[in-house]
Amino acid sequence: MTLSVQDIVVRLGGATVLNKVRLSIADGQMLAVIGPNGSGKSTLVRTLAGVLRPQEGAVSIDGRRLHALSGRARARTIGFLPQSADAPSLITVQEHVGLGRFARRSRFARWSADDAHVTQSSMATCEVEHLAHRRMESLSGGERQRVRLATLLAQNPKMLLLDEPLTGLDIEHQLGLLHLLRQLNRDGSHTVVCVLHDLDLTLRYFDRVVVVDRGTIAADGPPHDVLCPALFERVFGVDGRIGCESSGEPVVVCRRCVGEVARPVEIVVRPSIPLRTRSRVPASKEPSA
Amino acid sequence: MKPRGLARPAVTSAVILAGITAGLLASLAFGAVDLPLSQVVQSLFGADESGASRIVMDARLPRARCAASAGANLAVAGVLLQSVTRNPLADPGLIGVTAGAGVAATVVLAVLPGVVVMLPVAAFLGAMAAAVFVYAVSWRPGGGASPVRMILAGVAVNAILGAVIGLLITLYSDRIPAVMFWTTGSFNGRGWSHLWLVLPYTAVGLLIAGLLRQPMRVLELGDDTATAMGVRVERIRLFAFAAAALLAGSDASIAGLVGFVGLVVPHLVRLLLGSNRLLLPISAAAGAAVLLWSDLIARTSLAPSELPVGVITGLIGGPYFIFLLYRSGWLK
Repeated sequence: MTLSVQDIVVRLGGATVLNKVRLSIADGQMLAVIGPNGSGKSTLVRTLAGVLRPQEGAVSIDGRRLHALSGRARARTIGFLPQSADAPSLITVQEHVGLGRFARRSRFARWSADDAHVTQSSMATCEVEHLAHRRMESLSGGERQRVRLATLLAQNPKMLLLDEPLTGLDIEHQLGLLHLLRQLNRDGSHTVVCVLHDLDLTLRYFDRVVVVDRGTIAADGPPHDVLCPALFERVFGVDGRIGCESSGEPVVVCRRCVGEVARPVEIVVRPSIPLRTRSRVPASKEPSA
Repeated sequence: MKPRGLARPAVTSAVILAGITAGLLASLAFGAVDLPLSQVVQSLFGADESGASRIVMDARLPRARCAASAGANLAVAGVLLQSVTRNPLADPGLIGVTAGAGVAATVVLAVLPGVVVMLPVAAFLGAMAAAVFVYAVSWRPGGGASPVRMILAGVAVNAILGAVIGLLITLYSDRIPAVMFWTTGSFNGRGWSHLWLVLPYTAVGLLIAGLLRQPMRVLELGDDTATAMGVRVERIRLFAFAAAALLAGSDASIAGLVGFVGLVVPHLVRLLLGSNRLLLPISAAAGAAVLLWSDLIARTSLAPSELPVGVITGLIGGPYFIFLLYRSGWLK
């Protein structure tokens, strides 16, 4: 199953946000979409998801025009998690996840055992089973994001498109969510397309990265090839490179804006103080770094 | 979506159904002549030519049916509009339907009293015209009718139509009482003919509302999410708007302008249910119960004269609603 766009032009409110973009996403890829603010990343995934209709060019899935499909047929193939969503009042987690079955049920079908089973297993996958009867408005941001992902999984689409799903999550939940996406990608061979801002996570979790800059695709390829100093400077305006941790793991290091003068940092090697006692040392007596 | 302990919906529905039954029987029994319950039941199941039977079957039953159906219509219209505009303050008044019916009715009552028999038709047409206008104003090619534009267009159209009503009653000030009585809503003298007149529109409105239940719940997750989940957002919004307009227009045609029910009954049911599941059918039943009882109170409390039903819904329903809000913690 290949999702592709051919020379699409998308205008929003008079501004051309995407200009002649061409992209093809094959089955089973784990793809990150990165780029500066306002570059058109969100618009690109929203167009791929069929939420926006391009003014020129076409979105197609296996050669068929995406917009020729019915809404439900599209939703059975492509699932999309928008950047932000309204949390309707009074809805419980289980009900929210159950709504994901919308595209999978015929209009007059009753709630089936299969629907119940998929709802349950989606909640289990996203580890929100224990919250099933809680109301959405009572959840933390991280929990709510996992519930939204569970709703997406209940829809059971082949492709998962996510627009900045990490926003507002703490580091543990960010890594947890990416780990889950990678698992879905490997085990269930879901295609994952994810907009994100963290270049280091892009490097670690994705096989392909598409860099969007000013409405066009500036680079496309494996993260190790794409994330080069020239790209960091040209697209993001920072000095950056792929470095190496002491463990040997690669890491993206971006230290300053292009042209910014480096501030010398003096590294003081302190005598090692156990963490617990260090916190009790009065601020005034703390050795200044 | 999946049932989770049916206790609350079951209890709530039982209470509301009991309320409808009791309200219906009381509406048939009480009035200028109080009839014993046995006679009411006898008339219902074996109408004869006795006076009691005539009162029950020809006057009180059709009137009670009008009240119940108007209540159900308004509540369903309220649920549809609150969901589709994502605004808890939405009600049939917001989309111009009420004001449109008001202008048309004022024209008939004040300017053309000779054709007062056309009042229900005129009110319905006025309501539809205003709704179409509001939808047209809020519609943009490509974007459809956004909730915010719908609300703003509704407010603007309401302002214009309100001014027209004000102008008309100033010019025809001798007709103010008739207009006033109509605009606060009443079921006085309403009968089978009124019901038959609006039945097709009510039926279509309720049918659409029933079909929209699932997609509307998905739509509450936001436009992008709903689109991605397979809902045709623009179409659902148009249908919901049309159904609400048909229902509220039917209602205005029967009863005049009954406020409060469309706005508050859905919230009342939400507070009782603690969920949005089954909101639509239970709201319909609750709306019917509310207007049945309000009409009964309106016509019996100051007998032989009659209060407008809108006065009762406001005076009793309003404080009760504040009480519920307070108890639920929303007002603390």
